[in-house]
Amino acid sequence: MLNFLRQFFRDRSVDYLVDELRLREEIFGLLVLSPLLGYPLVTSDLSLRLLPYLSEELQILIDRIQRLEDQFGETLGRFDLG
Amino acid sequence: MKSYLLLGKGGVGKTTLSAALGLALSQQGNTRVLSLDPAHNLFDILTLPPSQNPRVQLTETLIVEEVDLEQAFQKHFSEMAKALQREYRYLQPLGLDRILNLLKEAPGSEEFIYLQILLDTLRESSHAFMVYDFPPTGLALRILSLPIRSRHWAERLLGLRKEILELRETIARIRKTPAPEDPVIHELITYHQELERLIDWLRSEDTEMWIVAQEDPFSIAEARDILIALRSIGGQSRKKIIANRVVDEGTIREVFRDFPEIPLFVIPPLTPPPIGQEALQRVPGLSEILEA
Repeated sequence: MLNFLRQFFRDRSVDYLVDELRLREEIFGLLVLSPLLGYPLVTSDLSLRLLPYLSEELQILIDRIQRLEDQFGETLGRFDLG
Repeated sequence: MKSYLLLGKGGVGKTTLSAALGLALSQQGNTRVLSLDPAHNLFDILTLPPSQNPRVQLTETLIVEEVDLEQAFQKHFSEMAKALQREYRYLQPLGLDRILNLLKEAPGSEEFIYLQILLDTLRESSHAFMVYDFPPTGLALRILSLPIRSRHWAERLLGLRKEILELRETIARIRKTPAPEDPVIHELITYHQELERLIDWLRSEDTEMWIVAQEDPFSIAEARDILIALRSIGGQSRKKIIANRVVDEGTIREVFRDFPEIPLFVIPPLTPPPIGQEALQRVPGLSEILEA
Protein backbone atom coordinates (compact mmCIF):
# COMPACT_ATOMS: atom_id res chain seq x y z
CA MET A 1 0.00 0.00 0.00
CA LEU A 2 2.79 2.37 1.00
CA ASN A 3 4.66 1.57 -2.20
CA PHE A 4 1.52 2.18 -4.24
CA LEU A 5 1.02 5.60 -2.63
CA ARG A 6 4.69 6.47 -3.05
CA GLN A 7 4.53 5.57 -6.74
CA PHE A 8 1.25 7.50 -7.16
CA PHE A 9 2.63 10.72 -5.67
CA ARG A 10 5.91 10.33 -7.52
CA ASP A 11 4.04 10.01 -10.84
CA ARG A 12 1.90 13.04 -10.01
CA SER A 13 5.00 15.09 -9.18
CA VAL A 14 6.65 14.06 -12.43
CA ASP A 15 3.49 15.01 -14.34
CA TYR A 16 3.62 18.52 -12.87
CA LEU A 17 7.32 18.77 -13.76
CA VAL A 18 6.57 17.63 -17.31
CA ASP A 19 3.83 20.30 -17.55
CA GLU A 20 6.28 22.93 -16.39
CA LEU A 21 8.88 21.66 -18.85
CA ARG A 22 6.40 21.85 -21.74
CA LEU A 23 5.49 25.44 -20.76
CA ARG A 24 9.15 26.44 -20.67
CA GLU A 25 9.80 24.75 -24.00
CA GLU A 26 6.83 26.59 -25.48
CA ILE A 27 8.19 29.91 -24.25
CA PHE A 28 11.64 29.09 -25.59
CA GLY A 29 10.21 28.07 -28.98
CA LEU A 30 8.02 31.17 -29.18
CA LEU A 31 10.93 33.47 -28.32
CA VAL A 32 13.36 31.93 -30.78
CA LEU A 33 10.93 31.53 -33.65
CA SER A 34 9.23 34.90 -33.15
CA PRO A 35 11.14 36.77 -35.91
CA LEU A 36 10.07 34.13 -38.41
CA LEU A 37 6.47 34.43 -37.22
CA GLY A 38 6.43 38.21 -37.66
CA TYR A 39 6.87 39.24 -34.01
CA PRO A 40 10.57 39.99 -33.75
CA LEU A 41 11.73 39.52 -30.16
CA VAL A 42 15.11 37.87 -30.46
CA THR A 43 17.43 38.83 -33.32
CA SER A 44 16.67 36.87 -36.47
CA ASP A 45 20.21 35.48 -36.84
CA LEU A 46 19.59 33.46 -33.66
CA SER A 47 16.35 32.08 -35.11
CA LEU A 48 18.08 31.06 -38.30
CA ARG A 49 20.99 29.53 -36.45
CA LEU A 50 18.81 27.46 -34.09
CA LEU A 51 16.03 26.60 -36.54
CA PRO A 52 17.46 23.19 -37.56
CA TYR A 53 17.45 22.05 -33.93
CA LEU A 54 14.01 23.25 -32.90
CA SER A 55 11.79 20.58 -34.44
CA GLU A 56 10.68 19.44 -30.97
CA GLU A 57 9.76 22.97 -29.86
CA LEU A 58 7.94 23.54 -33.14
CA GLN A 59 5.90 20.38 -32.58
CA ILE A 60 5.07 21.55 -29.04
CA LEU A 61 3.88 24.89 -30.45
CA ILE A 62 1.75 23.16 -33.10
CA ASP A 63 0.18 20.95 -30.38
CA ARG A 64 -0.45 24.05 -28.32
CA ILE A 65 -2.22 25.77 -31.22
CA GLN A 66 -4.44 22.72 -31.63
CA ARG A 67 -5.34 22.81 -27.94
CA LEU A 68 -6.10 26.54 -27.89
CA GLU A 69 -9.83 25.91 -28.35
CA ASP A 70 -10.02 23.98 -25.08
CA GLN A 71 -8.02 26.00 -22.57
CA PHE A 72 -10.56 25.36 -19.82
CA GLY A 73 -10.38 21.58 -20.28
CA GLU A 74 -6.58 21.71 -20.33
CA THR A 75 -6.44 23.62 -17.04
CA LEU A 76 -8.90 21.24 -15.38
CA GLY A 77 -6.91 18.30 -16.74
CA ARG A 78 -3.70 19.67 -15.29
CA PHE A 79 -5.18 19.69 -11.78
CA ASP A 80 -7.13 16.48 -12.32
CA LEU A 81 -10.48 18.20 -11.76
CA GLY A 82 -13.79 17.60 -13.42
CA MET B 1 46.08 41.27 -37.72
CA LYS B 2 45.11 44.90 -38.13
CA SER B 3 41.70 45.66 -39.59
CA TYR B 4 40.34 48.75 -41.31
CA LEU B 5 36.58 49.19 -41.70
CA LEU B 6 35.49 51.87 -44.16
CA LEU B 7 32.02 53.21 -43.50
CA GLY B 8 29.87 55.96 -44.96
CA LYS B 9 27.12 56.92 -47.35
CA GLY B 10 27.07 55.32 -50.78
CA GLY B 11 29.22 57.19 -53.30
CA VAL B 12 31.51 59.05 -50.87
CA GLY B 13 34.60 57.13 -52.01
CA LYS B 14 34.79 54.19 -49.58
CA THR B 15 35.76 51.70 -52.27
CA THR B 16 38.31 54.05 -53.83
CA LEU B 17 39.89 54.66 -50.44
CA SER B 18 39.78 50.93 -49.63
CA ALA B 19 41.67 50.14 -52.82
CA ALA B 20 44.20 52.93 -52.20
CA LEU B 21 44.60 51.84 -48.57
CA GLY B 22 45.07 48.20 -49.61
CA LEU B 23 47.78 49.17 -52.07
CA ALA B 24 49.54 51.29 -49.42
CA LEU B 25 49.34 48.58 -46.73
CA SER B 26 50.55 45.86 -49.10
CA GLN B 27 53.93 47.63 -49.11
CA GLN B 28 54.19 46.68 -45.42
CA GLY B 29 52.73 43.17 -45.39
CA ASN B 30 50.17 40.71 -46.72
CA THR B 31 46.91 42.54 -47.25
CA ARG B 32 43.39 41.53 -48.22
CA VAL B 33 40.79 44.06 -49.38
CA LEU B 34 37.25 42.79 -49.12
CA SER B 35 34.35 44.69 -50.63
CA LEU B 36 31.15 43.84 -48.76
CA ASP B 37 29.02 46.23 -50.79
CA PRO B 38 26.40 44.25 -52.74
CA ALA B 39 26.79 46.83 -55.54
CA HIS B 40 30.57 46.61 -55.49
CA ASN B 41 32.91 48.27 -57.95
CA LEU B 42 36.29 47.45 -56.43
CA PHE B 43 37.50 45.63 -59.56
CA ASP B 44 36.31 48.54 -61.76
CA ILE B 45 38.27 51.04 -59.65
CA LEU B 46 41.35 48.85 -59.97
CA THR B 47 40.60 48.50 -63.73
CA LEU B 48 40.65 44.72 -63.44
CA PRO B 49 39.03 42.78 -66.26
CA PRO B 50 35.71 41.09 -65.39
CA SER B 51 36.45 37.84 -63.57
CA GLN B 52 34.49 34.75 -62.65
CA ASN B 53 36.64 34.54 -59.56
CA PRO B 54 35.56 36.99 -56.84
CA ARG B 55 39.06 36.83 -55.31
CA VAL B 56 42.07 38.12 -57.25
CA GLN B 57 45.74 38.08 -56.25
CA LEU B 58 46.65 41.57 -57.44
CA THR B 59 50.28 41.60 -56.33
CA GLU B 60 52.44 39.24 -54.33
CA THR B 61 51.19 40.80 -51.10
CA LEU B 62 47.70 41.98 -52.05
CA ILE B 63 44.46 40.07 -52.53
CA VAL B 64 41.34 41.95 -53.59
CA GLU B 65 37.91 40.41 -53.28
CA GLU B 66 34.33 41.31 -54.08
CA VAL B 67 32.03 39.31 -51.86
CA ASP B 68 29.67 37.13 -53.85
CA LEU B 69 26.53 37.16 -51.72
CA GLU B 70 24.89 34.40 -53.73
CA GLN B 71 27.89 32.13 -53.14
CA ALA B 72 27.91 33.06 -49.44
CA PHE B 73 24.20 32.21 -49.17
CA GLN B 74 24.87 28.83 -50.80
CA LYS B 75 27.82 28.13 -48.52
CA HIS B 76 26.16 29.04 -45.24
CA PHE B 77 22.58 27.99 -45.91
CA SER B 78 23.11 24.68 -47.73
CA GLU B 79 24.25 22.91 -44.53
CA MET B 80 21.36 24.47 -42.68
CA ALA B 81 18.91 23.45 -45.41
CA LYS B 82 20.18 19.85 -45.22
CA ALA B 83 19.76 19.84 -41.44
CA LEU B 84 16.23 21.24 -41.81
CA GLN B 85 15.34 18.58 -44.33
CA ARG B 86 16.69 15.91 -41.97
CA GLU B 87 14.92 17.21 -38.86
CA TYR B 88 11.64 18.32 -40.39
CA ARG B 89 10.57 15.33 -42.43
CA TYR B 90 7.56 17.10 -43.92
CA LEU B 91 10.01 19.43 -45.70
CA GLN B 92 11.54 16.58 -47.68
CA PRO B 93 9.16 16.80 -50.65
CA LEU B 94 10.11 20.50 -51.05
CA GLY B 95 13.67 19.73 -52.17
CA LEU B 96 16.85 21.41 -51.04
CA ASP B 97 16.71 24.31 -53.50
CA ARG B 98 13.29 25.44 -52.36
CA ILE B 99 14.31 25.26 -48.71
CA LEU B 100 17.40 27.32 -49.56
CA ASN B 101 15.22 29.92 -51.26
CA LEU B 102 12.90 30.02 -48.25
CA LEU B 103 15.87 30.63 -45.97
CA LYS B 104 17.20 33.39 -48.22
CA GLU B 105 13.85 35.17 -48.01
CA ALA B 106 13.68 34.87 -44.21
CA PRO B 107 13.79 38.22 -42.39
CA GLY B 108 17.32 39.17 -41.35
CA SER B 109 18.98 36.57 -43.57
CA GLU B 110 21.18 39.22 -45.23
CA GLU B 111 22.66 40.49 -41.94
CA PHE B 112 23.10 36.89 -40.82
CA ILE B 113 25.14 36.11 -43.94
CA TYR B 114 27.28 39.21 -43.45
CA LEU B 115 28.09 38.13 -39.88
CA GLN B 116 29.08 34.69 -41.18
CA ILE B 117 31.31 36.31 -43.82
CA LEU B 118 33.02 38.46 -41.18
CA LEU B 119 33.51 35.42 -38.96
CA ASP B 120 35.01 33.52 -41.89
CA THR B 121 37.51 36.31 -42.49
CA LEU B 122 38.52 36.25 -38.81
CA ARG B 123 38.94 32.46 -38.91
CA GLU B 124 40.75 32.28 -42.22
CA SER B 125 42.83 35.37 -42.30
CA SER B 126 46.56 34.94 -42.18
CA HIS B 127 47.01 38.48 -43.46
CA ALA B 128 48.76 41.27 -41.62
CA PHE B 129 46.12 43.74 -42.80
CA MET B 130 42.44 43.40 -43.65
CA VAL B 131 40.51 46.21 -45.32
CA TYR B 132 36.72 45.95 -45.25
CA ASP B 133 34.81 48.14 -47.69
CA PHE B 134 31.40 48.16 -46.00
CA PRO B 135 27.98 48.54 -47.66
CA PRO B 136 26.25 51.94 -47.36
CA THR B 137 25.25 53.20 -43.92
CA GLY B 138 21.87 51.54 -43.29
CA LEU B 139 23.02 47.99 -43.87
CA ALA B 140 26.46 48.64 -42.35
CA LEU B 141 24.93 49.83 -39.07
CA ARG B 142 22.59 46.85 -38.93
CA ILE B 143 25.56 44.51 -39.44
CA LEU B 144 27.75 46.27 -36.85
CA SER B 145 25.05 46.49 -34.19
CA LEU B 146 23.92 42.88 -34.61
CA PRO B 147 26.65 41.08 -32.62
CA ILE B 148 25.92 43.04 -29.43
CA ARG B 149 22.14 42.71 -29.75
CA SER B 150 22.44 39.01 -30.58
CA ARG B 151 24.83 38.34 -27.73
CA HIS B 152 22.33 39.91 -25.33
CA TRP B 153 19.62 37.54 -26.57
CA ALA B 154 21.95 34.55 -26.76
CA GLU B 155 22.78 35.03 -23.06
CA ARG B 156 19.12 35.21 -22.10
CA LEU B 157 18.26 32.18 -24.21
CA LEU B 158 21.16 30.28 -22.66
CA GLY B 159 19.69 31.01 -19.21
CA LEU B 160 16.26 29.75 -20.30
CA ARG B 161 17.74 26.68 -21.94
CA LYS B 162 19.73 25.77 -18.85
CA GLU B 163 16.52 25.89 -16.82
CA ILE B 164 14.86 23.57 -19.34
CA LEU B 165 17.80 21.17 -19.19
CA GLU B 166 17.76 21.13 -15.39
CA LEU B 167 14.09 20.19 -15.48
CA ARG B 168 14.73 17.49 -18.09
CA GLU B 169 17.53 16.07 -15.96
CA THR B 170 15.34 16.07 -12.84
CA ILE B 171 12.56 14.24 -14.67
CA ALA B 172 15.04 11.75 -16.16
CA ARG B 173 16.57 11.14 -12.72
CA ILE B 174 13.19 10.40 -11.15
CA ARG B 175 12.21 8.16 -14.06
CA LYS B 176 15.67 6.57 -13.98
CA THR B 177 16.15 7.18 -17.70
CA PRO B 178 19.16 8.87 -19.33
CA ALA B 179 18.79 12.63 -19.90
CA PRO B 180 18.61 13.34 -23.64
CA GLU B 181 21.41 15.26 -25.43
CA ASP B 182 20.52 18.82 -26.32
CA PRO B 183 21.91 20.12 -29.62
CA VAL B 184 20.21 23.51 -29.04
CA ILE B 185 22.43 24.46 -26.11
CA HIS B 186 25.55 23.32 -28.00
CA GLU B 187 24.61 25.55 -30.94
CA LEU B 188 23.78 28.45 -28.60
CA ILE B 189 27.13 28.18 -26.82
CA THR B 190 29.01 27.97 -30.15
CA TYR B 191 27.16 30.99 -31.57
CA HIS B 192 27.66 32.95 -28.34
CA GLN B 193 31.41 32.33 -28.60
CA GLU B 194 31.39 33.48 -32.23
CA LEU B 195 29.52 36.65 -31.29
CA GLU B 196 32.02 37.30 -28.48
CA ARG B 197 34.81 36.97 -31.02
CA LEU B 198 33.16 39.48 -33.36
CA ILE B 199 32.56 41.96 -30.53
CA ASP B 200 36.16 41.62 -29.31
CA TRP B 201 37.31 42.29 -32.87
CA LEU B 202 35.05 45.35 -33.24
CA ARG B 203 36.35 46.70 -29.92
CA SER B 204 39.98 45.80 -30.46
CA GLU B 205 42.66 48.49 -30.60
CA ASP B 206 43.86 46.73 -33.76
CA THR B 207 40.62 47.69 -35.48
CA GLU B 208 40.26 51.11 -37.13
CA MET B 209 36.96 52.54 -38.32
CA TRP B 210 37.32 55.08 -41.09
CA ILE B 211 34.14 57.12 -41.43
CA VAL B 212 34.16 58.64 -44.89
CA ALA B 213 32.14 61.75 -45.73
CA GLN B 214 31.98 64.44 -48.36
CA GLU B 215 30.89 68.05 -48.06
CA ASP B 216 27.25 67.38 -48.94
CA PRO B 217 24.81 67.52 -46.00
CA PHE B 218 23.46 63.99 -46.50
CA SER B 219 26.81 62.24 -46.33
CA ILE B 220 27.71 64.41 -43.32
CA ALA B 221 24.44 63.47 -41.60
CA GLU B 222 25.09 59.76 -42.21
CA ALA B 223 28.69 60.07 -40.98
CA ARG B 224 27.39 61.64 -37.77
CA ASP B 225 24.84 58.81 -37.40
CA ILE B 226 27.66 56.27 -37.79
CA LEU B 227 29.80 58.04 -35.17
CA ILE B 228 26.91 58.04 -32.71
CA ALA B 229 26.14 54.35 -33.42
CA LEU B 230 29.80 53.40 -32.97
CA ARG B 231 29.76 54.88 -29.49
CA SER B 232 27.37 52.11 -28.44
CA ILE B 233 29.89 49.47 -29.57
CA GLY B 234 32.50 51.01 -27.29
CA GLY B 235 35.94 49.47 -26.79
CA GLN B 236 39.39 50.51 -27.85
CA SER B 237 38.93 50.56 -31.63
CA ARG B 238 40.24 53.73 -33.27
CA LYS B 239 37.95 55.98 -35.26
CA LYS B 240 38.98 58.45 -37.93
CA ILE B 241 36.86 60.81 -39.99
CA ILE B 242 37.99 61.03 -43.60
CA ALA B 243 36.55 64.05 -45.34
CA ASN B 244 36.91 63.15 -48.99
CA ARG B 245 36.89 65.50 -52.01
CA VAL B 246 36.76 68.53 -49.71
CA VAL B 247 37.23 72.10 -50.93
CA ASP B 248 36.27 74.04 -47.80
CA GLU B 249 38.22 72.43 -44.94
CA GLY B 250 37.09 74.98 -42.37
CA THR B 251 33.40 74.21 -42.82
CA ILE B 252 33.86 70.44 -42.58
CA ARG B 253 35.90 70.79 -39.38
CA GLU B 254 33.14 72.97 -37.95
CA VAL B 255 30.52 70.32 -38.77
CA PHE B 256 32.37 67.62 -36.82
CA ARG B 257 33.51 69.85 -33.95
CA ASP B 258 31.31 67.96 -31.46
CA PHE B 259 33.46 64.86 -32.01
CA PRO B 260 36.71 66.36 -30.75
CA GLU B 261 38.10 62.96 -29.72
CA ILE B 262 38.06 61.68 -33.30
CA PRO B 263 40.80 62.92 -35.65
CA LEU B 264 39.63 64.35 -38.96
CA PHE B 265 41.64 64.13 -42.18
CA VAL B 266 40.95 65.96 -45.37
CA ILE B 267 41.54 64.66 -48.88
CA PRO B 268 41.15 67.29 -51.63
CA PRO B 269 39.22 66.63 -54.84
CA LEU B 270 41.37 64.79 -57.37
CA THR B 271 41.12 65.43 -61.09
CA PRO B 272 40.79 63.05 -62.78
CA PRO B 273 39.36 60.71 -60.13
CA PRO B 274 41.89 58.05 -59.07
CA ILE B 275 41.19 54.93 -61.10
CA GLY B 276 43.76 52.18 -61.65
CA GLN B 277 46.67 51.10 -59.47
CA GLU B 278 49.05 53.91 -60.39
CA ALA B 279 46.55 56.68 -59.70
CA LEU B 280 45.38 55.01 -56.47
CA GLN B 281 48.97 54.92 -55.19
CA ARG B 282 49.11 58.70 -55.58
CA VAL B 283 46.07 59.50 -53.38
CA PRO B 284 47.45 62.27 -51.15
CA GLY B 285 47.48 62.10 -47.35
CA LEU B 286 47.00 58.33 -46.93
CA SER B 287 50.31 57.70 -45.18
CA GLU B 288 49.54 60.60 -42.85
CA ILE B 289 46.16 59.06 -41.96
CA LEU B 290 47.77 55.65 -41.44
CA GLU B 291 50.46 56.99 -39.14
CA ALA B 292 48.11 59.12 -37.04
